Amino acid sequence: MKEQHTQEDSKSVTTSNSTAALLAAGDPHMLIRHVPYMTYLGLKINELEDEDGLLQVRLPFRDELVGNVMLPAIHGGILGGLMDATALLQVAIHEPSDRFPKTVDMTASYLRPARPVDCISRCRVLRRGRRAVTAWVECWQDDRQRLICSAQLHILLVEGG
Amino acid sequence: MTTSSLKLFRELADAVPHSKAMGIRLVDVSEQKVTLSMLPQSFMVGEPESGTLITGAVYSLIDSACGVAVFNVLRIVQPIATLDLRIDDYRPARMDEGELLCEAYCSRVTRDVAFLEANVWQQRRDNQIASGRGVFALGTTRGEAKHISGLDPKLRERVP
Repeated sequence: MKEQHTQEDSKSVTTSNSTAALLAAGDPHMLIRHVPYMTYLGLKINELEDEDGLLQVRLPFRDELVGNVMLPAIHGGILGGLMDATALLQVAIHEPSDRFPKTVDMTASYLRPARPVDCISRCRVLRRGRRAVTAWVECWQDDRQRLICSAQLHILLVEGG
Repeated sequence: MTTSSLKLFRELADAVPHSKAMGIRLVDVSEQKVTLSMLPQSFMVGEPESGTLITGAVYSLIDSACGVAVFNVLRIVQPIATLDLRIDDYRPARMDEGELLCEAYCSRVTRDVAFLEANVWQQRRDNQIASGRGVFALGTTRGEAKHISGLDPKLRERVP
């Protein structure tokens, strides 16, 4: 319904509402393509809905992501970026709004070195408030039981366009 | 002293593929603080309509700055690991407002861990984008420590 409304509006409004149209469609593939940093990370959808109903995001490994060449290990900043993106996607898809949600804060714990292989992450919403969501993200590689990092975030639900 | 550490840290930063990809550069080192810069690039955008950077990109800059600040306070390059890193996102960084600067300093060092604080701004120091807090573990793997020339290699043992 929002998409129809967008098409009827003027050009400038159509541009500012393209995020709105994507959010209304609720397709994480399209959102990843729309957000430059998510495209840069090369994020893929691992599972649209896993057994707990959560979106699983995959970060394919590539050399550019390395932060420690000795081990080697993926850069902590990249893992933060992955967890932030995972939370934003989970919230964007499941909390109706016509603006993209915004991160207020993120606290990440690094549990094991991230080896040079793919990472998978998923986000659980701990509480949805009226304006903000408290979210928890976990991230692993080959073994789901061995987390490499986790994060807790507050994400603001942005109103209006 | 500062010049030699600046050179060594620059070499270290250049050897990190991710820092290179993000265009993260070390711009200043003093006894207390390190300052790193990052020029906004179009791939860092989180919201195309407003041209604002995603939190994750700013977070990378903070992580890198905190790491360099640990080496700086220890006066020694040894294997370290991020235990915990927090970012508070004050306001979005903008593509059209020039480079981001991140100043990081060690608020406390013990034998095993270092506590870090960081501030990020754009254009003017009072135009703060984000703040960060980190905890790093020291000497995490048995690697060869590289002393910074001209500095007392025993310094770490004297740290409280």
